[in-house]
Amino acid sequence: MADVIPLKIDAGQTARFNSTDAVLNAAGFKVTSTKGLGAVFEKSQGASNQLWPAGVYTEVVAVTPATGYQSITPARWVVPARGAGAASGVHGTVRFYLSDGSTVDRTNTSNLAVTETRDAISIGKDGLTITSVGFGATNTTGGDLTTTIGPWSLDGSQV
Amino acid sequence: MTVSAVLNNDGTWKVSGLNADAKPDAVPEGSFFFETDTGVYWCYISSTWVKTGPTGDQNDALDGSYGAPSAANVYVTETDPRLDGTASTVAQATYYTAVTASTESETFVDGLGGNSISPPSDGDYFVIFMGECSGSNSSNQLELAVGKNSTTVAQADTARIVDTTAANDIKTFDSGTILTSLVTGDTIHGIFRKSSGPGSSSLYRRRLIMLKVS
Repeated sequence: MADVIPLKIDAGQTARFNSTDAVLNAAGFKVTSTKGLGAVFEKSQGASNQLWPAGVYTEVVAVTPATGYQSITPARWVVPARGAGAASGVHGTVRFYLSDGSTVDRTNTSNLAVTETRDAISIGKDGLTITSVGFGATNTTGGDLTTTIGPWSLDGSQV
Repeated sequence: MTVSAVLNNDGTWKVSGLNADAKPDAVPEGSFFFETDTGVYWCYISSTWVKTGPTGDQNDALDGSYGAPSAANVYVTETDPRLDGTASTVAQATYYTAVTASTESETFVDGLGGNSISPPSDGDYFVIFMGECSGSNSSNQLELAVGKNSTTVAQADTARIVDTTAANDIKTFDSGTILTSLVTGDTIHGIFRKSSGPGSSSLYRRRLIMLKVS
C-alpha cells in the first residue's frame, strides 16, 4: 500500500503525481484521477529470423504495463506458427509472467498461427496478476535452429 | 483469403479458409476447418482432415454427378438425377382427346354423355370429362362423371358433379380422376344424367380428355 501523503490545494488547481493528474473539484472535497483505472493495452512484435538455442524458450521481447500501471489483463493474443521445414521443432510461444515469478506458456505446434482469447483458457493461478508478457519461441529439439517466427500480438488492458 | 484460426474454449480450433487453401497440420484434435467459399466443414481427426456431413461422393451425387457406383463411391447415381424427372415427363406427356364438341340436347335417366375412348396403351391416365350443361326445369338434377367400363353415374369412378338449380342456365361441369392400370381393351366413358324432374337436359361442347401419366 502506497504511503498516504497529505494534500492541500485550492479549488481549480491541479496536483500531478507520477504522471497522474488529480483535480480538486469546485466543491473542494473530492479528488478524481483524470487517468482511468484501466487503459487499453495493445502490443505487437514482427517476425524474427534468429537463432533459437536448443531445448529452451528464447524471448524476443517482453511487453510490460506503462508507467503507473502494475499489471496486464490480456483479452486476446496471437501465438505464431512453428518454424518452417527443418525448423518445425521451434514453436511460437507467448509467455505470461505472473506476480509470484511463475510463468504460463501458450505454445503453438501447428504451421498456422492461432488467435487465443482469455476466456478460452485457464491460467490456473489464484490471487496473482500478470506482470508482463513475453513474445518468443521454444526450440523443442536437441540442436540450435535458425528460423523465422512471428509476428506476435496482444490486446487487452492494463491496471 | 488468409487462413486463420481461433482457439475455442474446449481447446480445439476454429479454422477458416478457402477450398483451395492448404489446411494446417498439428492442430488440436477435433478442430474444425470451414471453407468460406463452399460452406464445407472439415474436422481434424487422428491427425487428418476429414470432411464432415455428407461424404464426398454423397455431395457429388447431390450436385448431380453420376456414374458407375462402386464400393468406394456407393452413393453416385447411375443416371443424372437432375434430368431423370424431366426426361420421363417429356416421354410420357402424350395426351389423347375424344370428341371435342357437340351440340345435341339429350334426356337421360342414367346414360352416356356421348363420349367414350379406349386407351391407346396400357398405363395410368388422368381422365377428365367436361361440358356445358343445362336443364329445362328448376327441379332438374344434372350430373357429370367419368367411369371405366361403366355406363351409369352410380358406377362411375369419379364423384358426381351435381347441380340442382340448373333451370335454363348453362353451366360448365367437369369431372376428373386418375384411372390406374388401364389396358387397351378398356373403354372410358363420359357420363351425363338428368336424374329428376320433368323436362329435358342438354350437354354442349363435351370433351373427354385422357392424359397418360405413367
